Amino acid sequence: MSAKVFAVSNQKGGTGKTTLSMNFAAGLARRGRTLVIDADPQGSAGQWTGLAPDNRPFPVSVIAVAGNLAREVNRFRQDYQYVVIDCPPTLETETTRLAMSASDTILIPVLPSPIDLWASVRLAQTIEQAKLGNPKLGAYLVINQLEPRNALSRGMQQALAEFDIPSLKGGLRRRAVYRTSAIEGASVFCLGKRGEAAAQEIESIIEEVI
Amino acid sequence: MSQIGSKLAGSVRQAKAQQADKTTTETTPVKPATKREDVPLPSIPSRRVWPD
Ligand SMILES: Nc1ncnc2c1ncn2[C@@H]1O[C@H](COP(=O)(O)OP(=O)(O)OP(=O)(O)O)[C@@H](O)[C@H]1O
Ligand SMILES: [Mg+2]
Repeated sequence: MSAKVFAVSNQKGGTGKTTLSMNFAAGLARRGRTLVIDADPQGSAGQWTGLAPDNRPFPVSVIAVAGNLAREVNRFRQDYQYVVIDCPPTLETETTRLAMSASDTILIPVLPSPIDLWASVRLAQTIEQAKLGNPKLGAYLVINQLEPRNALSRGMQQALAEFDIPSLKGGLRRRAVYRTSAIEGASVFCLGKRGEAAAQEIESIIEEVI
Repeated sequence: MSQIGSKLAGSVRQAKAQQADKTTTETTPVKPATKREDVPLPSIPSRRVWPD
C-alpha cells in the first residue's frame, strides 16, 4: 500500500485548515485507513481528537510530527491509504516546504475575503516552486465559510479564476456545525441530522480530489 | 459576472503583479529606505496639561 498524501495549507491563519483536515480525513476514513499528521505546533488537530468521548473515538488517529516531516510521511505511506497533513499558518518554516515535497495534493482553504485572496497569491508562487522538486504535486483552492447570500462569496469563483491553481467546484459553507464538531471531538459525519449538509460538502470535495 | 466579482478578480491581478515586481527587485540592490529620524515630526500643538 502506498498512501495518497494530502497537505492542507495556507500561510494565512484561521482559513479552516484544521476544520477541513479533520472532516476530510474522517470522510476518507470511510474509504480506507487514514492518518492525520499534525504539523502545526499549535496542536489543534490533536486537541480536537482529545475531546472525543470514550464511547465514540474520532475515526482517525492524529500524530504530531515536529522533525523531518518528509521522512515521517514516507514511513507512514506503507501503512495507510490516506495521509492528511494539517499545516501551520506559515510559509517560512521548513515544515511547509517539507509538507509540499512529501504530498501528492495540496488543498488550500481560502475565505471569501479580498485580504485572504491577496495573501494566497504568495502561496500560489510557493507551490509553483515546490512543483520543481515534486512535479506530480497537484493543488486546489477550496472556498471555506461560503455564504451564498453574500455578494463577496458569490464573486469568489470569478476571482479564483485569476489563480494558476484550479479551485474545487465544491466548497464549505459557513455552518455552526463545523465549530461544534471540534468541541465535540467529532466529525460532521457522526453528528446525525445536524451534520448532514456539511458531510455532503466534505463528500463532494473528496470525490473531486481522489 | 457580478460587479464585485470583477473587482475582486482585478484586485487579485494587481496582487499578482505586485508579487512579481517584488520577486524581480528582491535580487537587485534596493535604495536604502529613508531613516525614521529623517522624517520631520508633525508639529501638533499639544493641548494636554500635565498635573504636577
Ligand atoms: N465552514 C465553517 N463554518 C463555520 N466556522 C468555521 C468553518 N471553517 C472554520 N470555521 C471556524 O473558523 C475558525 C478557524 O478555523 P480553523 O482553526 O480550522 O482554521 P486554521 O486555518 O486551521 O487556523 P490556524 O491557521 O490557526 O491553524 C475556527 O473557529 C473554526 O471553528
Ligand atoms: Mg489549524
